[in-house]
Amino acid sequence: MYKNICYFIIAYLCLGVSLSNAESQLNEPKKDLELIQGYFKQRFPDIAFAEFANGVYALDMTARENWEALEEFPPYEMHIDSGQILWQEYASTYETCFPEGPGIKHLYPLWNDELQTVITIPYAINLCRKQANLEEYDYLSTEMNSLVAFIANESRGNLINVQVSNDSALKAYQAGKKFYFTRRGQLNFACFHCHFDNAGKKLRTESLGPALGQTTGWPTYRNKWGALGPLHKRYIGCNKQVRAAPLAAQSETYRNLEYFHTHMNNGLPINGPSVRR
Amino acid sequence: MKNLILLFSLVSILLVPLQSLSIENNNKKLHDHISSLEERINGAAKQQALWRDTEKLLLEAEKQLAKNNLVHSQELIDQVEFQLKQSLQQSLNQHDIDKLVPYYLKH
Repeated sequence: MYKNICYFIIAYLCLGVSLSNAESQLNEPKKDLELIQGYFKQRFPDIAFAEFANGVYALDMTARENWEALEEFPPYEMHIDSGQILWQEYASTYETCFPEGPGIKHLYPLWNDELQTVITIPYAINLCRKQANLEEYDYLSTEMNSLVAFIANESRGNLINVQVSNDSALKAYQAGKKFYFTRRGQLNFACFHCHFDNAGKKLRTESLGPALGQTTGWPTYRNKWGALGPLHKRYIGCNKQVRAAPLAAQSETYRNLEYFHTHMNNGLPINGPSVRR
Repeated sequence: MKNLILLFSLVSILLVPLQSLSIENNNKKLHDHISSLEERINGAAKQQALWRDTEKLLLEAEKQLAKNNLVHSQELIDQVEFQLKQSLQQSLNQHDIDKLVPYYLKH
């Protein structure tokens, strides 16, 4: 009898320790969120939190003037219209996959337990099209970007709310985090070197944007591209700029990166599509 | 004197095929080296450790080899070797996430 009670106590303690361990591990994204947002709030105390959604234009007032002028006749506007047409063309298909309608960008990327992978909006669109036996879009194509532009526009103002809900999701989040902080390429730079330590400083003629708020406005019409493009195209560009070999758009690594990158923006409003230099 | 000239001509005639044989040998060696580098580049790409220009350099080395520019091809191969070594070293040194995150983001 005494022996049984001892076993019970040991088992109870073990369970308690493992549960609290799992819980504390799942707290990692929450702690990261506090530390990252706290860092930028402390570094730029005069900037209102929601302003970070405007990226570098929250910090560089000269660039902001140009940007505001561009926003008066936004070059992405026609893409929203063509995206709406594309949505309506297969509305019943998309409504089956996205029962809450197109205004859902603030909830993505999300972890899918069944597929054991991170699902971004473009990835979800292609999964949906595949299920309906429709041809999948190229991730860098105008059609895909226009459709995402429509979805982003419908989600405008919604606050980003990306969740890391279980251990598998946490692993993907941690993989994205590791990618973000890993030095790569001949220049030996990690993402955070430019967008944390040097945010707001000049790189040649351009100001470096803070990491906080970088995922709110996609897809973006970049003047450099002369076209609307997705976040993963920018990841490819960033990797090339530090002279590392880029990965494919919507590769698992980039989706994990987007998961971590977007999670740090929880609480900021979606303001895509947008225009950037 | 006549004999000397004859001997010299004979040696030259014999040397020509030997020389071309050594070029062919070098060519094959470089070919094999390029193939092994291709495999190593694929390995580095899988580890996401590849640099942007490494693959381009190897392609150029292959082109130069096809044109029989052995010296230039060897130089490019050396560059690829160097880049691969550096990039894999860079990746090996960064396994521990706790060491990558800056102090102000540590829990």
